[in-house]
Amino acid sequence: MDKKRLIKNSEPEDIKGFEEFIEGQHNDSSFLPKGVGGGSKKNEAGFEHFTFLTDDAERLTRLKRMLSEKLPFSAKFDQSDKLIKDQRDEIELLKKKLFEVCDKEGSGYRKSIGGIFDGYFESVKKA
Amino acid sequence: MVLVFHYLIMRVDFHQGFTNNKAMSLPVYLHINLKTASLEEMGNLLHSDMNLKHPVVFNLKTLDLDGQRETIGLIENFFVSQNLSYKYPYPVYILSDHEESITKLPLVHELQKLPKFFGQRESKMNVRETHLSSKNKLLQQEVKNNDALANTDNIDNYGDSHRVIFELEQERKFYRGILNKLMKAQKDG
Repeated sequence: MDKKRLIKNSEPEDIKGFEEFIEGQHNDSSFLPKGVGGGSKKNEAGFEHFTFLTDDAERLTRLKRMLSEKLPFSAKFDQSDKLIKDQRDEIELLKKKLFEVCDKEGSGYRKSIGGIFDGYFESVKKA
Repeated sequence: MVLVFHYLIMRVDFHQGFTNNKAMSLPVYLHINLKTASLEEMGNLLHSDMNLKHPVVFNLKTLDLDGQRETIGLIENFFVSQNLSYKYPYPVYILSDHEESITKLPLVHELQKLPKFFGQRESKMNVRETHLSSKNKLLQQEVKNNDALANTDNIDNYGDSHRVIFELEQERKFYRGILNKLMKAQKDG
């Protein structure tokens, strides 16, 4: 791969015609485009703006896609109601199963409730 | 005669190109400092393309609280009545002392609270940037041409239904968690 090198003390005559390939020139930068390799503030700002404009283009593209493709599509083929219905059905099923498990003879729930009630009514009986 | 005609066409093209380049600028905040809350001033300021090329900040800090509230109402009404969006292509912000809840427009109390993305330093654009900016112009127009009211309704509906889905999912997870624990306890004896 070719690498751009800094040429030191070259005669201007020797490098005639190759100026655009040379990134830096010792003691003489007058023939080079301004800011090349020097990182001047102007160029940095330009690069910053270019990035900003690219990001903005990306933002606008996504916005356009959302407004003209995704939103009409989701409005036309809305699945929310079906999802909500399925979730409600599953919640009902889970509640039913929970009740069955808790209502079984010797279940933890029954034991706990039995303990509380027995403790309370035993003390009432004794009193 | 033909040469003169060509020359005139070239002059017009050059002039148009020049004015277009001149009008092209970075999409950075356009600050509008309102001195009065008059209807006339607002009528002159508000137009359909105001947020087409850059975000806009209405600085209402110089007005009293009542004036600020009235102006916010006027700006909001303008966008709703014209079926325009204050969110895209570029957002419209209000700089005010009021609470955010008084309007649907994005409201901030300090300039520092504005999104930093559009807070770029404005300077002359180079050729590459101008080219990119002219490409963006088409996108801006496409985004603006969408039906703002229909889109807002769609987004609101989508948001509402997905909020319900999220809550139901939380409930489902809760019951599923309890059931799993009970089943495991039963299994372990």
